Amino acid sequence: MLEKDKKKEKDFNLSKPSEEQAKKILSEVGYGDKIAGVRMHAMAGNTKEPLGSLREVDNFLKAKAPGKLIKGQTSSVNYIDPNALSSWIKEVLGDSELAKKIEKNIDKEDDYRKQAKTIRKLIEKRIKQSRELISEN
Amino acid sequence: MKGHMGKILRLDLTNLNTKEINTSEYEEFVGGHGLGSAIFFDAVKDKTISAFHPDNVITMMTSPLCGTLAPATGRIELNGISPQPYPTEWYSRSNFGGRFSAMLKYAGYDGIVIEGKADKPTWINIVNEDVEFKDAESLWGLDAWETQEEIWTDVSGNSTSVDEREWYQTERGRDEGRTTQKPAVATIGAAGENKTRSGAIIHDAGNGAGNAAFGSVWGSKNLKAISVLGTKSVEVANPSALLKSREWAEDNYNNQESDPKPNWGSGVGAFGGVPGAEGFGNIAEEQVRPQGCVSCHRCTRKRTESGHGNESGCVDFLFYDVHDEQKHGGPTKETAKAGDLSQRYGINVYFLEEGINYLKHLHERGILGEGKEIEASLPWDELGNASFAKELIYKVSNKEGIGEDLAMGLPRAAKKWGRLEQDLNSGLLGLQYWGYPQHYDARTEVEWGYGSILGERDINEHDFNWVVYWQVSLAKLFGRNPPVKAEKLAKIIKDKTIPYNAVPNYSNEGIYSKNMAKLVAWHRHYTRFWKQSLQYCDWAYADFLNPYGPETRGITPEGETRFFNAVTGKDISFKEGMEIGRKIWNLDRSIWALQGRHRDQEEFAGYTYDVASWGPEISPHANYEVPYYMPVKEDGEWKYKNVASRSLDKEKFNEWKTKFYELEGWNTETGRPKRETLENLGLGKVADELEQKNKIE
Repeated sequence: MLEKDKKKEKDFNLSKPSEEQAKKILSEVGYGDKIAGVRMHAMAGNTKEPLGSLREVDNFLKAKAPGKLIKGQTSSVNYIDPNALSSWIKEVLGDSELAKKIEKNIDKEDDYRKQAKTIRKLIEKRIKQSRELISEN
Repeated sequence: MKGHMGKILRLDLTNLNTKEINTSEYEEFVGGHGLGSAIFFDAVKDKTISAFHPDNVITMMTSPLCGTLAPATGRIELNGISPQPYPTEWYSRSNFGGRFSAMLKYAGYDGIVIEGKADKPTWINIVNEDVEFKDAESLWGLDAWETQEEIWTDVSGNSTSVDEREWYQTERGRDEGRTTQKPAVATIGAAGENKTRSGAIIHDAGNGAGNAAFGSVWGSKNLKAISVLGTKSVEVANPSALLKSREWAEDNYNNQESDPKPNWGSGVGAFGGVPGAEGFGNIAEEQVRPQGCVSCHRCTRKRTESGHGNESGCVDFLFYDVHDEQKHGGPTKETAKAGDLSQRYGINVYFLEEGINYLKHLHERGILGEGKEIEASLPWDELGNASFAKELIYKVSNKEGIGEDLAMGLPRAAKKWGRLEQDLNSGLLGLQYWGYPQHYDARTEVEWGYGSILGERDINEHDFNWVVYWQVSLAKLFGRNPPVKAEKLAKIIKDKTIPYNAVPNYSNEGIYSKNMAKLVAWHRHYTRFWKQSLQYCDWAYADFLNPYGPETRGITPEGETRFFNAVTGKDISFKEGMEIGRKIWNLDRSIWALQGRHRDQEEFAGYTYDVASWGPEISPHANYEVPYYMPVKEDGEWKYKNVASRSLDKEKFNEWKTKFYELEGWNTETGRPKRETLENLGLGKVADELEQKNKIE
């Protein structure tokens, strides 16, 4: 593996959470703790969607995958402010490590599509880790 | 005027008879909305009647361009008193595309005026000059697609022979009506039949007039459907000029195979774009073929491999895609199936979009549900599947359970629940203008909001929207440069907004300026004539910036004028067209004045003034700025700036209204047109009626 790839891989490394942390990471939070996703659409305008779990955040970002984003009048973007998201992950889900990794990685990009891709990669990794941990126990 | 068929069909549902109006009597209003408003003004003596009063009149008007080769002119305009707005049922408008408009012209009519109320369910069969009132008892209760299939069979002669049914009107001669064309049918579903405030008029698979809820007015009149079959042709003044103009437009403003792909995305310009290139619009990718309204060069609609979502577009899907995505981890066919349900029941999808969001908030807050403050039984576990949409649509359309309240429309339902004021103030209920769901935000893209509140509904006109907001914000979001610099955009818009030559300055000062009054006035006058009266489609016009145009300039204003003059034989300038638009806008304004409109009523929902544009409040983690970049001129320099955190200043907005009224020649105390203004526009008799009703100072 090249040195730059190793470094890149390191940026996405997440230590294994505890069982208690994993449960919290996979939990669905109450209405007053939700984060918003904003569906931006060229014809329809913006609508705000309450999102209460990492899975919902992942689904929301996955739905408008990079590469499909610019399509004229039918184009749409599912947007979550990356900084608001990292704060939410830290303060509501209590996952400081994931929040820090997101912050660090999105700072390198000024293209939201790349930011969203990075965020999804980290979130999906964390969800997978947590699910495996819960199923093991 | 060439392009006109010469007569307008008047349907008296009360007495089941017809009359005709010579189109020439109203020629100064040209077509579409202008014709509709002028005829409505004369036909409805008491403008204060309710939408469901039998004396309410619904007009359906084509334009001289419909049914010709003028590109993207295949729509038909509807006017009448609408049951949708809140608190007043304003005189309003809607329109739909497809084949109906052209077919009506081919049958020999420039429009239809629907009056009175039938004493039992009725449908209308128009085959060229033959007009028949038909019993619709057997159609009442059928959905919009079933109804059309039944009517197609009926008009074909009820033959069960496939061979015979390939032809319609087989008893007629070749030049008297026999045709292979299917009748164009406009119909209502259960939402209209049951007089909800969200009933749409549906045509073919996916064309609908949703906003304004005229489908419910049809329901109140016991009118189930109108079928039209025509075999005539439209006489064009200068066919050669029309063909050359279309070629000129294709060559200069539309995508050519040899054109490089613009780096700001295909189809982002209004007029230019590859037919069908936009796929299914992020909804479950599948094989599609382009499908368009008559005369359209863009073919923005689709026929799908699966058959789900045929001809639907935009909010037909977008009321549900986000829920589908959340349920299934990505878009599936459930979204298209939900869209199909909205077409079949004939229900306004804007109502569904805001309605589902609002109900979901109330449900998650523990306010709405079984045994809750607002009693409602809805299958929330199924949200994202078409089954949830079906349950909700069924209940609203048939006024069952929670649907009984929702059938009144969202503002009236929220009022009944004692939540209207608080939810409008917080923004939880996003009804920004006249009880219509916020589409584009009055706090940021003010021309949309200002136009809506000065009018009677969500304007749903994207003329400026593409170029001042969407293209710019998308570019910023993706780390790209916008298509053109802000200064160039301002210059292009200034050049093209004849005769007011307004610049798009959306700075905190600019949105309250006289310049913004000019821009909004241009927009109101432009759309009233060029779009809503001539039926130039919102998906193609106005075209300010165009990736294929010379120096990225769009086809507006040259295109609109060239096609019109070629068809009609007139020689009007764009400015003269704008003046007709101003006349129609003032006529509408007078009708609203007669309905009781006063400047004090022209206020947005409370959240517009009190909450920044990121609202509504969900949690402390939900408030952040969504990129909303707009052109601004600050300290003498043009730039694009994110204005997302802005709310409107109520006092300044009211000062701006005064500037706008002055510009329009309206009384600044009341917001009503002055006699002098109306007389100068040739609307003296309108001024007389306002004076008789003490609505003019």
